[in-house]
Amino acid sequence: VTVKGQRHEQAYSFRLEDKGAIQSIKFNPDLSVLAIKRNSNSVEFLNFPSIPSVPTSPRSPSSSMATTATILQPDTIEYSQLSKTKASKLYDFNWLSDKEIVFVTDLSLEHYVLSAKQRTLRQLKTHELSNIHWQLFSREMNLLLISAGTPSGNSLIPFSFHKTQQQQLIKLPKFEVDLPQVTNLRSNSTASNAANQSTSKRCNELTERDCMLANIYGRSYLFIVRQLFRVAGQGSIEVVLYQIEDDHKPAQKRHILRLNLHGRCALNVVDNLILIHHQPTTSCYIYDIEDKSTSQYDGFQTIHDPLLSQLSIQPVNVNWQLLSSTMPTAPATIELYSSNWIVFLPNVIIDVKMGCLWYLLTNLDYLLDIIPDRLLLIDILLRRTSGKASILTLLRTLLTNITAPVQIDSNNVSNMSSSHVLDLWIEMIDRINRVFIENSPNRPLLDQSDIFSVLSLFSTIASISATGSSTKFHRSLSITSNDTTLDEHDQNHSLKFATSVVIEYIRSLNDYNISVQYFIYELLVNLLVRNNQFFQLQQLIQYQVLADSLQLACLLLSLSNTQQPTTQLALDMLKRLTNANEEIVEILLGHNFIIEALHFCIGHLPITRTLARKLLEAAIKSDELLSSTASNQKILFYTVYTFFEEYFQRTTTVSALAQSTSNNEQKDELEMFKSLFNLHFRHQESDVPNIQ
Amino acid sequence: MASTITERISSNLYLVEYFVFCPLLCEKEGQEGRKILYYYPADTDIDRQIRTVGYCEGLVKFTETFGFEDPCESVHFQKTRLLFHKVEQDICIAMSLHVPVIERKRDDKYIVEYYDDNINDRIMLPLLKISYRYFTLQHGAMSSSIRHGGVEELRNILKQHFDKFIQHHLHAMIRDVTLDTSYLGVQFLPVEKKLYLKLQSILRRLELRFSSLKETLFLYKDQLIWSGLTQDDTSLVYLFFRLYYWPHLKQLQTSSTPQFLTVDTSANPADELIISSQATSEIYQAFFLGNPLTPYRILVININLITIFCFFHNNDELTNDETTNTEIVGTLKKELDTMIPTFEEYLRKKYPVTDNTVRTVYYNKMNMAHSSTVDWTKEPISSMSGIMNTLAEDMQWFHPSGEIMVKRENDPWIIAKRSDMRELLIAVNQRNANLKEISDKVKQIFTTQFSNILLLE
Repeated sequence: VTVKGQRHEQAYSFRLEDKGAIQSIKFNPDLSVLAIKRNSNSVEFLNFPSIPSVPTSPRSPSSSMATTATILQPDTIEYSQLSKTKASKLYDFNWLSDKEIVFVTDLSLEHYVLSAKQRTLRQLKTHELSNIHWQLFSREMNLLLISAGTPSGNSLIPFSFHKTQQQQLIKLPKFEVDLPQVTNLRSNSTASNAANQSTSKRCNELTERDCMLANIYGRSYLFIVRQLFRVAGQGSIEVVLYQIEDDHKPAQKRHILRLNLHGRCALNVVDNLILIHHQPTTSCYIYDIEDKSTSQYDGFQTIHDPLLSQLSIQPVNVNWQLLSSTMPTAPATIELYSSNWIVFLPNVIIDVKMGCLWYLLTNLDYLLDIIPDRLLLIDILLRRTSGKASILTLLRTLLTNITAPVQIDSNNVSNMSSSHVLDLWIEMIDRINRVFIENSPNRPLLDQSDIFSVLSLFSTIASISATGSSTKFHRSLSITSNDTTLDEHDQNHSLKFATSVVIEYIRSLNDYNISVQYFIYELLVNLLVRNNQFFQLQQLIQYQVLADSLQLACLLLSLSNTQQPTTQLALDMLKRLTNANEEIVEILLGHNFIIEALHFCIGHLPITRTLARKLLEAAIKSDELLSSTASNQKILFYTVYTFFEEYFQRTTTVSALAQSTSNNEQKDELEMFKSLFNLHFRHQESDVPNIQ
Repeated sequence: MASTITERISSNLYLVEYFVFCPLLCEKEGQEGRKILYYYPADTDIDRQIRTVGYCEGLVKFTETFGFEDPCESVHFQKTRLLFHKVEQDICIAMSLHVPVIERKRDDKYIVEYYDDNINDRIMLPLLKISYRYFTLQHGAMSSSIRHGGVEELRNILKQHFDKFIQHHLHAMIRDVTLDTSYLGVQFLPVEKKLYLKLQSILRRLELRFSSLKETLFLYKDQLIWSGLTQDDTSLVYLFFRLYYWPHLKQLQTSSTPQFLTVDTSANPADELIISSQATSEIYQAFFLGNPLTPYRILVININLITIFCFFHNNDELTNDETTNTEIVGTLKKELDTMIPTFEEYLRKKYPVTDNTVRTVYYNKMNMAHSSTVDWTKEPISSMSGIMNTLAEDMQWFHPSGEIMVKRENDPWIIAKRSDMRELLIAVNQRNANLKEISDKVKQIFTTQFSNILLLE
């Protein structure tokens, strides 16, 4: 027996003694116990040693099955559990967890706890039911669905387990589903997820084969496939979705998927999309129950038409060489939608003839080409777990239409006007941010760095050559490239478009109360500067569109020059930040605003000797600058020194005692200034009486 | 001495002459009359015109030789004040003002005294400069008029323009001049970020939709909220709006139907603003903006209390058909209607009535933002406007910061403060307060009203 599981990359194989035909065989989730059903009233159990932890093999699922299966050695002792209700017939059994199992007989559900060490089972509870026909089980959904009661099998009882605690199996309200209309025609409807025997089932009977359980958008649904025949030879397929709710209400018919075709079909659920594989036409029809554009609500249920029609599964190239050598050199392609396929929910397809098992995945990038409606597309992509990459591609393509119209998109949307693109952008970014803020599972979350990766394409727009003397701005913009051949008017237009796009993004983030990260602001500032829109930059800062930050203040400082005094903006910003007082002092000193810096220090910073030294040094430097233009008597130095001298004299009495040890060192720091001061001022004062 | 009327104001400040001249136009001696491009009053004797212009020209030339950083722009005579300003290469404009006269009675005789102090260059020069910019806004540069149509053409344009401008506006501007008007600043309406971004979104989408629409300028009442123009152009258009549009607009009944506004500067003041609700092609006007001055087609739309200036490229394919106009208006109206009440709320917030004893005048040279809570027509402000003007002038010498506190008898305390590019004048009407109390009061005003900016001390 070879085992291959969805969660375990590795395949396992082991041998069993032949003790009669095996009707059903199931491992528990951690593969430590195997349950085998060989007759209709008991189940045998076989313990397995714990699985050796295998290094995660490289992902080649289809090839690993035959060659690299690990041989498992089962325990030799089997133990069994008989169904409690002797008269009943055991249909099937399901592992609820590693240690819990439920038997489904024609009269009851029997819930057991298994102790592998002692090789015993302990019964927890039995639910007596009459006339059980069949069951559906899904561990992922914590749901066991029983068809019981009426002979037509359309009376269904869901059981949920482990929702709140272990060892719990709760009966949910029973519900009945509509039966297909009884027709005289011999039905050729067949089960989807089964082999092609038993085609002669009567139409007015709900069978296990027409029903499936799956989770879509976090809700549990029962799918029922129905073939409808209104006229001979014509017909349609309907898939009815019953939502099974937890809150003790009977399940409700919520959605109907319509397909105007008849014949064999099968269902898969991939990434919350429902795929109907239609065998006669060998194509797929894809439904998205949350899409509004393809559905209509009739007051009771929502009726859906296919979102996408007549798509085909991309053929898989199986590398046969990796498989066992006994395989014949295979044909290059695999027959898609073959009648040998068995389809399991959610996304498993097995070709019984070829012995292959596939997982069906969606290729979302393909959607970019086949759905022309960009807004519909973004909605669809935003509902896909793996939609992020495709969304980014979509956004990038959209914006490239305007910034570099030469690169024609494959979908002939290149002649879109910039205002149209901006409108689309606004809608898209709003939706993206809404999904981001809702933070629901299985949705693509695009954060600001993701969007920035798209927006950074604007950095290729060259800057407008400034008129007059203001060409100096370029020094901060090393990213501009000159290879774009747009003339100035077009450049202006592109920059304006780019600015609008970034502002819209900021607006949307603000609407959802997401705080904007610095790199988005930096991009906006650079775009404005490149378009010589300094006054607009000022206005945007004035209206707090660009939120205060230390980084932004530094960027503004670096942009400052005589034409565009952005220093004031930066200083105001630093002041509002309230924790950047030292930076303010540095900037003031850098502009030789010595007295202003001193005043600011007094109000906002603790006066230390280090600070005094910094100011005194700056004062001396500033005095030197001034002395070249005016008759300056080291006035700044004098002012700053006398302030500190007085200040330290006033405070030393207290502080000197407290830190007498380190005081010597600190004194030395100012010693130099003291001598300098004495040299210039004390000296002169002492001269005065001499002259007199 | 019996205290009868000891002094009386016999004449106030008024405009005596206004002229434009270009020295290059006089090639030979005896042709001095040619360099005069415009002269007000027109009936002035030609010899007197030549003398005044020659005098002015000589001053410009003479002072240039000293190579001051700032050119000389005013001469103080006993009876008049001459202000001049070089506007384009070799073209100067000048105006002379009559110095106010006060007659004092002494020994039964009236002695005439000229009050030179009552004219402040710092306040008056901006008027001269803006009068030139109003001209260029509507007619483009003077030198380009000469290039296109010759000197006579320019003389005609100047005459048409300035005769009306002086008669209808300049006299009043000089009469009503205050510290506030001299800043030529822009009053911004502070609005909350989300609303502002919404507005940005509306305007930017509009600009992208109509490719020939270059920029927009957005006003609520007389307060600017957004301008896509450069700073200089913004203030010019803003002042033009305050001069020609706003006096009429504020008297209008607010109607929700969009209106198109055009200005006819040659008409009488009462008929200057033409309001049309028809989206015809006549609702466009030309404005000369930018550097060098280039013509733009302007569409001015008024919806309720909102005024939007749309600046179109002039050279583009003709898009001034009715459908474009209606489309623009339709888009705007739909989106703006919901915003109007919110704007009104922000306007109330901008001028909170907190402390009735404090009046402030604020100007930031960096972004030309200007705001004032002073009503100059009211006592006691009008009596101390002179000292405020003087302080404003003195503040120019502070670099980068400085503060003066002044108190005259019977006047409120006046505090003038400069912080780098910001100027702030505060009048505190607490006559009995001492310097210490006022200093504390000012500190308190800084921390409450100006907490979000860094004022250097």
